[in-house]
Amino acid sequence: MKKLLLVLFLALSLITPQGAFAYKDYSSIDGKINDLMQVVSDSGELGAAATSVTINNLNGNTDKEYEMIVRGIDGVAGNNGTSFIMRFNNDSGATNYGFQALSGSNTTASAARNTGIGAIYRFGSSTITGSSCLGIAHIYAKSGYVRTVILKSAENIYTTTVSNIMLWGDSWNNTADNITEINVLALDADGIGIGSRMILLKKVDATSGKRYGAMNIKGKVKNVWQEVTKGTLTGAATSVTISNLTGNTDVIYRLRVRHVEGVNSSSIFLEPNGDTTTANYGIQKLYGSDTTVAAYRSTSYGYHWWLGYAVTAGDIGYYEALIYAKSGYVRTAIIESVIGVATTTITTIELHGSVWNNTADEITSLVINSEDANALGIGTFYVLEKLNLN
Amino acid sequence: MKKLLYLIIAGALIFSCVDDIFATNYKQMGKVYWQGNFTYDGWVKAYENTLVANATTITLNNLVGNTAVEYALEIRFIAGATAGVYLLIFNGDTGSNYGQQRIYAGGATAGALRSTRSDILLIADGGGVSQGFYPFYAKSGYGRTLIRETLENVVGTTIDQIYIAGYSWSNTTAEIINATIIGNSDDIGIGSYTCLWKRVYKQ
Repeated sequence: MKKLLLVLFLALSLITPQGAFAYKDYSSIDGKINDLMQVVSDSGELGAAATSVTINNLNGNTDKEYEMIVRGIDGVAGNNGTSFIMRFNNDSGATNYGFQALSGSNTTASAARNTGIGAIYRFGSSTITGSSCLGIAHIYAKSGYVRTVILKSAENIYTTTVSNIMLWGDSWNNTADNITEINVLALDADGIGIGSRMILLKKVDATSGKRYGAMNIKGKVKNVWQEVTKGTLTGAATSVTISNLTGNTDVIYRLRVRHVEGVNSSSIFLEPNGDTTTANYGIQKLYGSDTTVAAYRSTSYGYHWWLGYAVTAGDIGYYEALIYAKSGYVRTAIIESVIGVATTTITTIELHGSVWNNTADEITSLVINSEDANALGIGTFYVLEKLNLN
Repeated sequence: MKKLLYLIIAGALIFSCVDDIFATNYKQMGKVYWQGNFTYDGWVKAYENTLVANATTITLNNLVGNTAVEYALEIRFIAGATAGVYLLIFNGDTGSNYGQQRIYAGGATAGALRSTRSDILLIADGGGVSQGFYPFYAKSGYGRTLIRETLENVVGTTIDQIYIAGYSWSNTTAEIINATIIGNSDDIGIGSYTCLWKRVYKQ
């Protein structure tokens, strides 16, 4: 009888998904995990210039959603410039793609449409050898209808100048073919310079994998966006320092702040390593306030990596920053800000390309700072995430 | 001898249940098809649907705004029967409790608009294919905020408009327990895709 019970127990333990009856704790895990958005390809920082980088073995019909992050370095000699574009299945048909763009360049906000072009535009353009760009694209990949892309890019960045901040809507008019590869290309030979990096995330469908029950991961999950730290202020503060960062290892951060204004009229900004030297920061903004759309550039910006501001105590803001943190080139960020929210009135919506003109120092801290004492009011929430590439 | 055998087996079973929490490096898992819950300090898919018939509404139930704190909605909609607008409301609230500030581009025209609304405008559907991405801060205590990034009414290689906008819902107290996407009658067409991402936290 005991043997029978033991055999039954062992058999049950083998066929029951782990964690079926309660959470099973894990330290850190690496795998293709169903229903997460995970990195499927990371080029690393390129060691040699290239004209194109191909990510293959994709299955767009299964994956449905992709997120592509590109930090481009202009590799074309002689300041001849290039653009960083994207194709699906290497389709170079000259009129198979279209875009609608909204841009901010210096003080000019403008719009442009193209209904017959040869690629998805674009993660960046440049005029100067060694200048950088940062772009992020949300791709809907499943066939059946035209494929669509929402893309944000900060372009032609050198020292403290961000030349353009762009919002793109793109389409690929192919409705039938499964996307099996994504190509990032430069318009000029060897335009994708040393230091460029392409990272692709996909929505994982692992329903054919090993079944598990409830899983609780106490450590890290590889290849996902995961929280580094978060906090909600219980008392007003002038600044919050997020320390113990390893920017060179972590490479990319994503910071979100829900700001509750603690005093009247104060700006909130971000400072890598607490650097308060105005001359080290540049910004290109695109913003809308009531019925006005406008743009602004500064190459020595006193509000550093500006997140937003609020006029009246108690007003709120919602800011998100994508930060390429690794040293070697200027550090860049794309920041979206919903600013000065009072009940149903929103003061401005802004899109920024921001730069920190420091190429050498590892980012070990990020300081959320404010213009006035106690401007980070009670209830201010922040969360820093990193992409677990390592 | 039998007792020793049982002890070894029991010990092995218990160890198999707890060994993972002592690991210092990544545990290689292969494909992981989890059922029940998956918790860590990150994001998981909370809802996904591709319509097989035209619909007028899509309701996202079982939201826990105060616990999750943050969500991100993604849609790729196909125009259905009657072109109109795609809207979002929280907890069924259709009062004038929402606000927007948007900038947009259509052709060579850039513009901006601020207004009070009785909903969040997801897409101004004029036909074709549209895509949107909408992260939002859901926890009560203050007004809720949402960011809208969209491209709209794509036909072939023509994109009608793109938007980036901020929205607010002025309700400060009610936990968000559902969100409803509303279109004109049967205007959320076959093939329309909805995905909701939710922040989860390790236990």
